Amino acid sequence: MPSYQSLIEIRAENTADPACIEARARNVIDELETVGRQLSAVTFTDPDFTLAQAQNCAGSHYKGPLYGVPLAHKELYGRALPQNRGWPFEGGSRSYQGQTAAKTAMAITKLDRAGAVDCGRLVSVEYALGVTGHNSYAGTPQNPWNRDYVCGGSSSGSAAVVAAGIVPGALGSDTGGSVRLPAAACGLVGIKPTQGLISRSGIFALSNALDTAGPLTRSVADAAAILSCLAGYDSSDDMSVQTKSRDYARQIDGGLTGLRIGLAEHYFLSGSDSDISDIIAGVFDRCLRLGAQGRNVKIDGIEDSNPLNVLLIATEAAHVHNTMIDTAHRQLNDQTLMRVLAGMFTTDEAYARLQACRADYIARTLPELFDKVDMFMTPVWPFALPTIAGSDLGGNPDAAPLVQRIGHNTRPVNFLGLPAVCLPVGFDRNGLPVSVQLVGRPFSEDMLIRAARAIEREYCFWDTRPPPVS
Amino acid sequence: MSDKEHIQAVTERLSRAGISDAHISLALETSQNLHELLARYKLAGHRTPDIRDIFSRLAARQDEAS
Repeated sequence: MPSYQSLIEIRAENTADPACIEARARNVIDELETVGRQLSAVTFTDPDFTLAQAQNCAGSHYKGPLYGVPLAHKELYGRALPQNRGWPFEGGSRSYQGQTAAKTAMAITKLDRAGAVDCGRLVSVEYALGVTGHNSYAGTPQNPWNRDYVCGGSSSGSAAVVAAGIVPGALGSDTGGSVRLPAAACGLVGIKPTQGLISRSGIFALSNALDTAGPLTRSVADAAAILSCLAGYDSSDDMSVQTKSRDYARQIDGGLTGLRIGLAEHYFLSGSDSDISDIIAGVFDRCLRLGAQGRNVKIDGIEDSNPLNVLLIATEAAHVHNTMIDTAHRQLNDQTLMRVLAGMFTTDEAYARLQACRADYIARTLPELFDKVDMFMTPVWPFALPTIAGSDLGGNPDAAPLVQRIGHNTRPVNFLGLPAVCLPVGFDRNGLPVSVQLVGRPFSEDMLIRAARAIEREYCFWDTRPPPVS
Repeated sequence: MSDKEHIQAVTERLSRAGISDAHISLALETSQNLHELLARYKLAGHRTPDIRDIFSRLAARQDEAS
């Protein structure tokens, strides 16, 4: 049975008794191979590597912040091994079948240094280019809360195994919502960091301008612990920026008093179904009762940031996978192919204009927005979670308008490069999780974590678990 | 190369690769809709810094404040 222990509990037990690290890693591998496979969430485990890493960790005098903590990650995170025996690195796609990682992702190296035990790789949507989680090649992960429903994408496998209690955390990547949508669908905490805070080096690329890396966990404190290990400058990532290292849990229990929180009624709540918006408005009211100062926020031009984000992803994805179009396009599913093809028509001049418009929009929008509030609040999913069958574009082309709406509340945040934390605050009419998204000024992750922790205490979602997978 | 010539070149390349006309037309239509939106965006006259420079400055400011 999955343990559902938090990262912090596991580390404490490992510190008291290092001998339990290897046994725990063995259990996690077993659960990934049984429960994780039943959920169609796992692509790869390497017991020899994982158990050797667990043994090394147990024998080490250095007890890092993730000492002996078992984690598993989205398949896009490379793990290179000697003699070209790297872990599979297929980008969730038959078109890269058999490719292995030539380089270990910087984020993985940082987790290794912090003492984490790497237990395997988890299903991603093909090229990370989809929001529902459907993948006809690697498998479509099932939501542990109700296996007929989607996990969201593209970090779908990461969300499924964390929600099932197999590991306390997993890394995902977020270009238009791919950490937050699956985290929200599965009742988890997800962090999309500020652009440039975490290195993407060694991660299977989708969009250099927009890709970010972040954790999915069951608690805010666990997410803060992982973020503290990952943040920092890396010269091998051309978007990485210099910033002071921080302990993101430092202010975690600071509460909401004095924080200025905006409710994004315009575009975000008004563009979401009323049952979802009502839940988020209720969270906002509760924050005010807990001492936050509140006001409505309207972000001029936000409507256009969503489709412009789609264009930027498509253009950069077409650049990354350019040769695939000639050699392996028949191996792509139709939706991936169409999204990449749409980006191929962008000229160099249009691409330069797109980048300039984005920079202009960021420079114009952020000072005014964050002069009035420290953060603003939105839903993550704009409507109740869909079923796997009901949102399968392959079998149900009529689902296209619904699927296009899914990233409504997340893509603008990527376009603006802002940090966001999402966490569960209730259930929809079908009993699936509903989450709030807190979006802050650049590099204010510590403040978002503080607010998220205060909301988490109120809603106590930590104690609520999905039914066991049988 | 003009935009028209670029579209023509991409279309021919995709056809040679064996991609159906229906797929190409739909992708082109999607692309054109998005580019129309991009064309409507009113850029400020001055030169805009690149994204990394913006975020580097914001990181330094946040470091000073904390």
